[in-house]
Amino acid sequence: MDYSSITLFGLMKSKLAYLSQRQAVIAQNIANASTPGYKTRDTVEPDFKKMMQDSSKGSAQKLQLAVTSGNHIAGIGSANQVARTMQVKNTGDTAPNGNNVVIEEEMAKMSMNQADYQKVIGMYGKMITMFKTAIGSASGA
Amino acid sequence: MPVNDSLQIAEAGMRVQRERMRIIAENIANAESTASKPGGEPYRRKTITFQNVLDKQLGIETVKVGKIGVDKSPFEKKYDPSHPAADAQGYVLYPNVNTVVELTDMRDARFATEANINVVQISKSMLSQTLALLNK
Repeated sequence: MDYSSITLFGLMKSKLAYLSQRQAVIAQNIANASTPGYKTRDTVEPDFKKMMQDSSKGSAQKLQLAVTSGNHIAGIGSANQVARTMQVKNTGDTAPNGNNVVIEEEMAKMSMNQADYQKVIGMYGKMITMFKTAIGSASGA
Repeated sequence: MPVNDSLQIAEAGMRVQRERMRIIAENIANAESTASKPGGEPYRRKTITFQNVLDKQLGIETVKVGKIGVDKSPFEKKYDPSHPAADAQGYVLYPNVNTVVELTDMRDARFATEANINVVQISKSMLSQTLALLNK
């Protein structure tokens, strides 16, 4: 059975994919904290609220690849690229070598990201437990 | 999977910082390395830069050592006629290494390495949380 065909599982899967992609972007920022000319990057969060509303209307919509040109074909969604990455132009702290990564800020972003991840994982676990209860083997084994 | 990518990126980040530490150590160790005979040049301070590159094998952008160059600033001149490298006027050229600058750089490298270690720890905990779902 494909779990993601169940709306909430699908949404949580998308959110986890987005959060892990963001984690990679933050890791990249930190690794490049002393690279001349490197500009901080961040991901554009998909509209999860809209996806939630759409799914409650019954038209479950999957997270799509971002389409930036009319010639692009909207993919069926790959796990590696769920959100668009953009450069943050102004962090208000640009070094003389053109680097504008603020490590403290990245650390804070990473902690938030981890907390969000933990939250969704917890929900995922709860959902599984609920399904087990419904089936009748709630003892967890 | 992007969380695995984070680990690879953080690893690349730590590797370049270690290389930076090596250059700093080299500079500090040679802070007093003068020439052995008159007219020779003392040790010249080395510099290091980083580059954001696309790792084609992994398909992700990581960081690499760009170029190891030399600091072209002038050498320090000290009066010491008894030194083997002293010129006719009794002056000796000393390396253009400023230990304070090197120490500040070293702190920066250490801080950056710690930040990368943090990335590894957090990514690792995200992975293990995901794997823990298997036990549900």
